Amino acid sequence: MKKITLYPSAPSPWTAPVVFLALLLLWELCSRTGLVSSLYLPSPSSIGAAFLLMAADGELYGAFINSVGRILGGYAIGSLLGVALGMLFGISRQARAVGMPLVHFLYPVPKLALLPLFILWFGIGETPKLILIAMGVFFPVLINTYSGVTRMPVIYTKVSVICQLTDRQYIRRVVLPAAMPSIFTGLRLGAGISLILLVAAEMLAAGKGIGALVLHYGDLMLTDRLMACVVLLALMGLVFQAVLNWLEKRYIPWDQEHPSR
Amino acid sequence: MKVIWDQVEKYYLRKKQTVPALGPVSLTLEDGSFTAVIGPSGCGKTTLLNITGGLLPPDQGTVRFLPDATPPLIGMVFQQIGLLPWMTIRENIALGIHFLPEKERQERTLRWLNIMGLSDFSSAWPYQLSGGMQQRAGIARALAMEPDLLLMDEPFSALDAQTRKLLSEELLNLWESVHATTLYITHNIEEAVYLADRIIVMSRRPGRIIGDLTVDAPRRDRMLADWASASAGLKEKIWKLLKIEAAAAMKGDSQ
Repeated sequence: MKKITLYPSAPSPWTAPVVFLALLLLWELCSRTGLVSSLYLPSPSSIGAAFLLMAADGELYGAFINSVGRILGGYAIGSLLGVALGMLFGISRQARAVGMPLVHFLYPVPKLALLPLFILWFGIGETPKLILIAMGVFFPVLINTYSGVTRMPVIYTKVSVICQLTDRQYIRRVVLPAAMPSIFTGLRLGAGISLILLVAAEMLAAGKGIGALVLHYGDLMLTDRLMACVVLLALMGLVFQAVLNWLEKRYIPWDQEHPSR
Repeated sequence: MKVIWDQVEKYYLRKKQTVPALGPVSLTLEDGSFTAVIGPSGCGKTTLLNITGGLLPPDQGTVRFLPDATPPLIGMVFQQIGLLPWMTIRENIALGIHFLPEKERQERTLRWLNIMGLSDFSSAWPYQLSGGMQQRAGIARALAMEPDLLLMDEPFSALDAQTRKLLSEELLNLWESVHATTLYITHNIEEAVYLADRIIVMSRRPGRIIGDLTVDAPRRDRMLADWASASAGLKEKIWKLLKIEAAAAMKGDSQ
């Protein structure tokens, strides 16, 4: 049995890349030797080739633009409303008494189940997709913002009372920054959910977009092109998280060296 | 500013029954006086302070401030310090005087950064400072308000013994120039005798006043080496009053 320690040894910078490359190589081999049919699992090299081809003829770009517009629009609406209502329910006990039971009732509903209803209400255009993504983002952001506000240490409120802050100063200079780390937790969860809902909505009801493209190439059994779309989705997720990391560093500069980081 | 407590009481709820937590307390703080309140843990001394600072309403009785023409400006120093982690030291100190015009606010903030030896940490985040330096900023925030009333809730009890001694010396030096009526909560007899003009001893829960003593020596004499022996009689007197209460409070008895 190994002894536990407070100071686990740092990994070599090569460990992760070497393992990833080895796995890719193994996958490539499985495909090339015919161990797995390239129809069911195309090789990394053929996926890469398909990706470049689709990028060159503008097909990926067109789908990407459509999808990015939807996800950013829905994400912006959902997160702004989530932060605003989370703050309101966290601060006002009256608003909380009405709002939070409703949130707990609606939160577990799979948002995708509402898409047919949204299409009925808003037609088959962009609106139902935007609303679907916004709803998926809204709940985790709201719940995390709310819990960030309600778990704020009482001492900060005492200080605000003694310093005779106005309610606007209290919200902007005390409550919002106190809840900021928690808000970012919500934004991260929302980012993952928005990507899932984007693809689902595009598969169900869109002519253009990455989700529609995935379905299209699935029907045509062009699995290397299908996988190229999946790679693009994965890259979008990575960039999304990287942007959030950057924003977090910028907007929470006061505990960069906090022990929990 | 004169502070008058008249029959102040506070209760709390336990199993749907009201249990007395504090008082009744009646007491007058003279303008410009430094009063220490000392009592066993749980006696309600912090509750008394919170009521005075307007953080809690009293259940019975009143707190009055004289002159009562304008609402009093109250500065408070907390045991938990309570610097806002997302504001630099400078912004934290300026928080209590946000109502001043920009120029005056900056001047006053700079002055208190200087007085408390924090000039080099003006743009630092609170977490980058030691506990002692953080509490210096906490004191600067309260004093920069130039308050009529200064409330201090065991301000040094979270600090190590040496830092505590150093900071109480600084406070003693500083206080004469502050002109704020001061109420200082502590459980440390040494500290109370060193800093205050008057010492109020409180009983165990529900806290009532069981002793009201005066410290006669002028402040400059307290910094001399023989203050420890000169104040021995007074400390003994306070300890005698406290001993029974503290022992009973430890066993969980209330009165």
